[in-house]
Amino acid sequence: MATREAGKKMIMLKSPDGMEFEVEEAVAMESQTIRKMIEDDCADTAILIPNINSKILSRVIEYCNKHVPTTGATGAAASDTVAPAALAEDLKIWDAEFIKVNRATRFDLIQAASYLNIKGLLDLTSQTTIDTISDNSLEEIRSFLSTKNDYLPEEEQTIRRENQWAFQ
Amino acid sequence: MALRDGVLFAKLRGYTHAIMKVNCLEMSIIAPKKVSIYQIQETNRPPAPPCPCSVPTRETAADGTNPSPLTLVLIPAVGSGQHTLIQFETNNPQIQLGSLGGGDMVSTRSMSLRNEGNMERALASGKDRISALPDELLQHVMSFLLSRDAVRTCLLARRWSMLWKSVPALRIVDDLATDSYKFVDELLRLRNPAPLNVCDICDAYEDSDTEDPLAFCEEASDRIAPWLRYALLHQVRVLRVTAPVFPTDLVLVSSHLKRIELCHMQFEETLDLSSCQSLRHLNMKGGCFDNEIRLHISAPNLVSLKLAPESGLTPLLDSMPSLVTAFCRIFRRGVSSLFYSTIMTRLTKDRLIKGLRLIYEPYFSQVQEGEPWRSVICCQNGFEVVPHV
Repeated sequence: MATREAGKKMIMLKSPDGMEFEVEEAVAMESQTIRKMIEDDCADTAILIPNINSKILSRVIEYCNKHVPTTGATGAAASDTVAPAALAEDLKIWDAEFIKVNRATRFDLIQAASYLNIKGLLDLTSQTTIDTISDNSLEEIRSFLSTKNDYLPEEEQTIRRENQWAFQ
Repeated sequence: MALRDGVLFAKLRGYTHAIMKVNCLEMSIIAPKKVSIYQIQETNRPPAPPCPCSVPTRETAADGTNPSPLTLVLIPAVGSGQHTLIQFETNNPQIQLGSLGGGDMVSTRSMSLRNEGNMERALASGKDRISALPDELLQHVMSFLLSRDAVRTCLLARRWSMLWKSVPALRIVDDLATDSYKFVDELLRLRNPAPLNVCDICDAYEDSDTEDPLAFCEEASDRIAPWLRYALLHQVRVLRVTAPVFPTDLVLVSSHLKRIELCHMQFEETLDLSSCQSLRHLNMKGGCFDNEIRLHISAPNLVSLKLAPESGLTPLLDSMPSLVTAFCRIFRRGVSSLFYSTIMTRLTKDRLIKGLRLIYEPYFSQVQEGEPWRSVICCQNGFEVVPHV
């Protein structure tokens, strides 16, 4: 295991396009998927992250770097620590800046967050997506999602009738 | 995953790769055309060269049918500490892995497996990207929608017609005084019994001229109670209720609950959360605690606590040895002014805390020690009371 500084274990993450990222173990372990691999001794050298290109992976690492608990070895799991209010506010502002990306990148980030199991990032990307489409008409949402309405007119009527209770 | 020799242990449907530590492995491959097997040495860095026993590319038969299952036996080079990475070049491999009788299975490691089929398809087509997300992920994204909007996505396209049924969240923001509760009743009746991450019920009632507020509270309580029961039954982890109701028969017993936020609710006697072993965060804002009987809160695993009622006696707290942050608004009986306090704790390394630090906000320098502080907040660990200067 490469060790840069005393007490800081480094992990090598590799994207399928051949880029390598050396990150602190604590940062990498923001990802529950990677955490599991490390805990199961599957990650002694480098971890190949399939399906996440270097551009997205570098953004994900940027997120993890920012969100890794700074307090250090309290023994509590990451989700159990409670950041002081000021720090939480700071993170919120940072998150809002971080997620100002185009639609395609955001979908890539959703997939990456899901694959790597990073709850905070998954929630951030999901919430942002929902914020974007809230209060839009069906047609606008379809256009945003690039989804085609493949219902036949009579099918659409049936669905609408069946779910009438939600459209009142 | 525990393994015994000769026992089939995994059917890998829809996964793209698996990493495991074995020294003998049997594979039966049905669908993929190509499977690459790499060995990762613990001491060396990948990329590792393909293992000599890589499966050759197999073409689908000319008539379109899948080739018959191919069974092969992998015996990676002898030596401890080897991992085998198996990469499937297919969207939907149908592979059975098993340890081979007589082989010495060192250990299997949890596999980093993911269904990436949809993702690859999406990347290939370059459009309709969100629809390319697997259902489960799409439903996670949908869980941030209000439930009403989530149901309405059924009109988007065929694929969306049933997705709302398994969205892992209930988000209700409605005026509980109107007929809107019928929507929730219907939703709960038609929803699939999928577990819930979040249950967020918010009474959006704003008009203050209800004829009979008391009657409204009782009615709203009666309506909400079955929803809460539903949420608990479906393993809800985050429960948030914002409504002026009396949870008279609120019994929160769940090993899944992680966070509870109750706003504007009114409480009597006890709030026993001691059965909620996973409960970490409790936040009670607004609302009233009883003026006669002190509420008794028992939640042994709390990490953060916020108590900020509008009135009533400050609750009695049982021991909370893991508490990291707390905020309490404290009232003195018969005195109308509010006493705030911020309780912070710094846990010592061994987590055997001697006490919480109670820090007064500056403008409460007039707060007298003794009554009500020590008598009101008592904790088996004891509090260290430190006036803030």
